[in-house]
Amino acid sequence: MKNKNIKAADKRMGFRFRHFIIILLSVLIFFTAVELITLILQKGVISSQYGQANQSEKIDHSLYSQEVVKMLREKAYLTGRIDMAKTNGISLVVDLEDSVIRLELKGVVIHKAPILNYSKSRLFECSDQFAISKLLSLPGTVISYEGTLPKEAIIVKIAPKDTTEANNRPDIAPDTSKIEAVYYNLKLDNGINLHISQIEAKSYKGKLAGFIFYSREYFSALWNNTTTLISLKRPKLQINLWIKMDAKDGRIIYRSLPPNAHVTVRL
Amino acid sequence: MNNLKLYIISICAWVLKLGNSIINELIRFTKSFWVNKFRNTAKWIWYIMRIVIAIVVFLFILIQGIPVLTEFIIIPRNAIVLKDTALRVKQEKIEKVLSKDIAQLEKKMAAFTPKYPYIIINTTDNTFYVYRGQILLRKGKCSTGSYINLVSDNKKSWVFKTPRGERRIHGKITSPVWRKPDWAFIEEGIPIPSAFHNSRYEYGVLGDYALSIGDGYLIHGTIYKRQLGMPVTHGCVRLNDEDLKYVYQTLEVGSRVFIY
Repeated sequence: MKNKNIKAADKRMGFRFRHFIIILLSVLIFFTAVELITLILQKGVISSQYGQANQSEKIDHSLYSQEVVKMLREKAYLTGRIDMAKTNGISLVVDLEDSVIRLELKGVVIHKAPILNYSKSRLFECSDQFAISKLLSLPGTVISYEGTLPKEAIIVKIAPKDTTEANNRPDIAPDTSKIEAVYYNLKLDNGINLHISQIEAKSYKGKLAGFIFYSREYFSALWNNTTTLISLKRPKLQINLWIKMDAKDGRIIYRSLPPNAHVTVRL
Repeated sequence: MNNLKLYIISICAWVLKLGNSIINELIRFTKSFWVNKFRNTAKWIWYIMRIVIAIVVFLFILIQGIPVLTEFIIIPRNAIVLKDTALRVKQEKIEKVLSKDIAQLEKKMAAFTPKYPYIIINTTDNTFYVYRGQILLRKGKCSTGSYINLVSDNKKSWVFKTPRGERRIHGKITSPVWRKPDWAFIEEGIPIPSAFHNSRYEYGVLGDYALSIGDGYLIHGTIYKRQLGMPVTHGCVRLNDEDLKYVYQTLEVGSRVFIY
């Protein structure tokens, strides 16, 4: 009798676990489908927004040699930089061809940092190349900054009541730059998402901060894509670029860019 | 001799057999002990572990696997490369026009860099660079705004930061005198004196030279040389004596100052 009960309990446990696995697998399949549909729709968005459908003069597809595409991109990159030079703010130039990231002010390079590693969304490669060149020809504007470090490290100091209190206070604010983890996202109005992170966090705290930041970003994007698809809307264009660089350079770039900074990308 | 060999082999076999039976007995005992004693607990632990492992694998696939998988499902379509000669002629024509455009744009871009000396100040790293065109003339440490927000009793506040962007040298001063603003007294816990009181003027604290960059901001010297390279100022840019002299002699009124 006892053995029978044990066997029945074992069976129930196995049954429940199997159900649990089936639910998890269903969720995975659902989200894979959502992401896949979103990517396919986004590919369509690139063509419809920047492709030849919107051009008054259509160019024969066969005229696109790889050299022409490369030159179109070079032209787009230079046009973008010149447009940015005409503005008053500090702008960002992401040059993936030379693996360099630059800060420019009125066309003058004020800071240059090497890109140590990068990866880009395959949407850049598999979409209409004319459309991609068109997308990159105009500089994007940063619409939101999100990161693990403060944009302006402001320290509030209450004025001392008298000289004794003033003398007892330290003169120099603590330097937090060495412990701050550098992970941030720049969302541009043209749909490009620039993910910049330090090459490797030395501390576990830094690594954890990066992991939490990117997981939060990823789940937020996944949730947005799911709700957009469920409500039968077209997903917003989002093309991701992941850049790894030295923490010091990453921090300089994040702190220097003004709220509506312009960004141009060279592929 | 053969008998001896047989004798040794049989002893070895007997020892092995005994050892094997002892080990088997031990295993049986341990197994039955654990199974009987902690059967249910072990089962529950294993059940929970399986769920935890499943969740970890699920999250890993969700965060790492799905983006890679979905990106790779879309097959890249490269630009078409044609060997048709007639088309190649057309393509070459387009390439010629494009290369002409690119050369013009490059020329235009190069014209943005000033040909006369200019200074670049990095407020995050607290460093400065003096350039002429693309040539670096001098670099060194400086001190810029501390990003302290000083709040007084009457809720007035000041943020000590160096303004970013492009500025120009408005004026060059020798032996500058610091006229202390109200916040300098509030910061030290001293009552604010009248506008032209003697205590407002401090001599020798700004070094031998100062270059005005507008809105009351200066590039000047310092007596706190150990703090160079740190963000400690009230918005001005501090340099050491040698760098300040070089900057004073190299930059002219109207020279461009790039702060980032």
